[in-house]
Amino acid sequence: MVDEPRIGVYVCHCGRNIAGVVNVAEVAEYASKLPGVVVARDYMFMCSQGGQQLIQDDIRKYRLNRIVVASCSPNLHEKTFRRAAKGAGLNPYNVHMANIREQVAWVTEDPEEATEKAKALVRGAVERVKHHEPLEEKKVPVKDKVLIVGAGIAGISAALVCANAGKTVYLVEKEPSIGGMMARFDKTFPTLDCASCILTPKMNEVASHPNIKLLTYSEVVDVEGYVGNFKVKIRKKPRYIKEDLCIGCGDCVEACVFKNPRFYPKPDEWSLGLKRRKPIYIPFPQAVPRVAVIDPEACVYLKYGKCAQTCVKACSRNAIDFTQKEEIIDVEVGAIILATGYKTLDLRKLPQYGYGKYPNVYSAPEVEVLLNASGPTGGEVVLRDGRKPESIAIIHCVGSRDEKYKKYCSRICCMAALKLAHLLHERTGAEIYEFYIDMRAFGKGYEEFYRRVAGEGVHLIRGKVSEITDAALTPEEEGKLIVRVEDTLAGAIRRIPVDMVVLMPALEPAVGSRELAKLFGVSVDENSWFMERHPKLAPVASLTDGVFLAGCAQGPKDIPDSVMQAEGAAGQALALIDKGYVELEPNIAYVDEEKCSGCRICVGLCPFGAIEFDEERGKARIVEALCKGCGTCAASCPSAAIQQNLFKDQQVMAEIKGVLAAMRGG
Amino acid sequence: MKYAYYPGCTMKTSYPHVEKSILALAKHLGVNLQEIEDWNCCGAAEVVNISMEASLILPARVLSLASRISDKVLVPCTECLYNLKRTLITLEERPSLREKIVGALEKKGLKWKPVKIYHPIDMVIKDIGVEKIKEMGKERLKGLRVVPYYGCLLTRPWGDDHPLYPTSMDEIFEALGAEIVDYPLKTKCCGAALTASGDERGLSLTYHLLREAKRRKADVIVVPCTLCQFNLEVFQNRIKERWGEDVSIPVLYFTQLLGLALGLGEEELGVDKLLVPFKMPERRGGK
Repeated sequence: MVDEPRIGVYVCHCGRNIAGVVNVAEVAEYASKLPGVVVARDYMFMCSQGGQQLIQDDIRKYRLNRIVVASCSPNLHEKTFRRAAKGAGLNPYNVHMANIREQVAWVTEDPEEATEKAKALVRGAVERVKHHEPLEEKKVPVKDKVLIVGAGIAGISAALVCANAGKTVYLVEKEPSIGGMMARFDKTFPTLDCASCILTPKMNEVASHPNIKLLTYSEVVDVEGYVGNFKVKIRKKPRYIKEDLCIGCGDCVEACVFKNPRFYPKPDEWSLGLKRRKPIYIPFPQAVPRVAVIDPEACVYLKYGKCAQTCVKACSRNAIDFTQKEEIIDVEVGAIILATGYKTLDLRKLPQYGYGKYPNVYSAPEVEVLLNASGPTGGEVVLRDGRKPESIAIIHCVGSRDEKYKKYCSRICCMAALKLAHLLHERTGAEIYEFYIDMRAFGKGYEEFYRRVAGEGVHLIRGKVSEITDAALTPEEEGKLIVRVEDTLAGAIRRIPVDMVVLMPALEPAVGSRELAKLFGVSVDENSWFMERHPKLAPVASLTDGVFLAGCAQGPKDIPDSVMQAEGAAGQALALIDKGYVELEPNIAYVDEEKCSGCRICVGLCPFGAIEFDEERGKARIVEALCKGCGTCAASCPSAAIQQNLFKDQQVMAEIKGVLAAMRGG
Repeated sequence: MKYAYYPGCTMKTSYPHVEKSILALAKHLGVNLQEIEDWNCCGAAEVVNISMEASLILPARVLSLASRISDKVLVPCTECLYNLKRTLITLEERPSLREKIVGALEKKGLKWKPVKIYHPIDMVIKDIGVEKIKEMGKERLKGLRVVPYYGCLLTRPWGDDHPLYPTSMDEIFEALGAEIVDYPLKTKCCGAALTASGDERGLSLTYHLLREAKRRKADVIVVPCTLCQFNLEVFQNRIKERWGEDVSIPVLYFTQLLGLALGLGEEELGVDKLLVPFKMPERRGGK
């Protein structure tokens, strides 16, 4: 104890949240008699302006130097009360909270028991706060650049906001072109806007923006540092094309020695394997950057060292460079936005639907490409066997809302399915059957879109499809794919023969997102989506300071929601950068060098790499800016040489003693 | 490798020739099968309609007797398999029922000790391994188009395989050189006991299974269940009378075809007792 404690205790009713169970007046009365307590009160809402004023007045009137607030979790209002104390001239770290809502009122039903428990926690807090001492926050300057990983619609939107605010943006995309999944779509729901008409202007803006450093065909390989001061290593794969010389004319692609489309060496990535591509290619007509790329696994020259190199001869700008090597680029940024998107569930995991076995069973993204004017058929809907479908089944929730695959709703599929129903009907005139469990039309204009498509004559059948089979029972079923379903509205098992089946697969995190999560130190939820700090009140921040989330990387989302979250994340990143510095919580650990034996147990245990070992002195040293105050080192130090501010042994022991004394009825 | 062996009623009464194949195959694979002494009926599909507890105590007694022999019990009938697994899982998950059932067993001097429940397919995959079988088989099934038919109960509701699209038998017979016919009806019901009452709906299920196998040019259907084997074999003539379509095709129990593939004789596998005769590929075409 540094000074004579003069403690004020404030017991909150939290409306009926606490007072409905705990006798708050009795708790305040009990607290007022504890040694060191000068004043104790109960009040309806301590967090209100009035409640804060009450504390500030008391600090001045009674010369209080310690405050205990018995109310909710410190997660919610610790900052409020620290601020209030600071406003009255008290060091904010002389405030401590006893959580008598989540830990008492909400979990202990018996009022008497709850009141006793609240008293014990308050007494613990009173004993603890006596050992608190003034602490100062540390200010660290922030780098004014932003790294954005993933250049789909979310990454692009975030990049433009940051760049337009005058910040330098490093936009990293692992594919050779930006645009992501949206670049494959023909139309978007619910307005049926042409997807490329609204996306390409943004892609071009990214390409020409002076503040955006676009790094395509690149991946982040290492991240160091902390909020405001990240050091990032990016690996740029060789395209074997000089980006500054190539004008994307396509002469090299034309000239490549592969001539017969059937024998092109690789499935085309952009069209999801619906056609094949040459070793040298431009991903799609609106690609950004519009620069060719050579696939070293398919190029005859790069593989075997021998080729006529017709591409080199065809290039009038001498842009082809077979000697290109991968580059490592180092950047320093203040904030990071992860917008790595999603992939769709591997449909072979649901063998009952015959994907991969029956050629006319398609995944929804394949149909998006098929409908796209830049797709393999120029937007004509032609089946793999060359026929035009006369009847089409669209199946919702394939792997979504299914305990065997993904428990969650993938959110986009209902509306995407309706969109596909509309487009497929428009292009083919086919009968469309749509099989859904529940129709979820939650967004702006979505219900109206559902009504519109329903009115266009689509057969909407409510039921989960049990199987797709080619085993015909009747002559009408011969040569067709038969959809077997329980029609839950008609109360009957139905078999519906069709020419084409479209499966709406569940969304799951993009390939490599677990590795990426580790790299950036962000948490993932039970389904491996990046986890937001709070599902309602902090939906764009990750649990790691300075790293923000946008788009489907955080969970399934449609385009409007992805853009919203992206622009929100950009706003958060800008707010962080424009402040110019970050304040680091003083709850960090420190080493008492006299006691440190240099065993290094703490060095290996620190999850944030915040402990260095000073070889010369043979002592551990905590890097304050990296320490997150988790307490692992303090708890593991065998010689008790590490203490942590706000969790010092004497503080924690005093709290325990206080709680135990109250429980003994002392 | 020692198993407690629980043949079940059907095997003993209607399918002694299939049982021969199980015993012969086990011997060939070096598996020691010891039949459970004084075993009783598993309760089949009927007892559970009368009393839940009785439907648990019958299999519980079998499992308890089996545990005296080994920690694994071999069960060749999928109905028995279902009842034994249901009992094991229910006693694990519902302590109040377990107390009652175990109490009843103890009154008769029996101890409750959970054992692992294996179908012959599990035995082959887990204890012998597909690689070993492949080596032993020398592709004797080359040229044979096989429909592996799994039926309702082997994979549902409990099993290691995909419940709707199992592939364990596909893998075994493919390793033996057979050509596996893509058969979308592989887990559809064979009609089960419905065929016995003469109901045409039951018969039509059997009909669809046979017809699809014929249409896909299969040489043989292989089954893991004697009731499936019964339905698919016995009603081929009646189906021809009713629908005017020839659906004749041999139907072999899993261990019968596997035994042949491993070089055992027709007689010791009871293949000579099939209603629709089956010949191995080598011998066809007068070779």
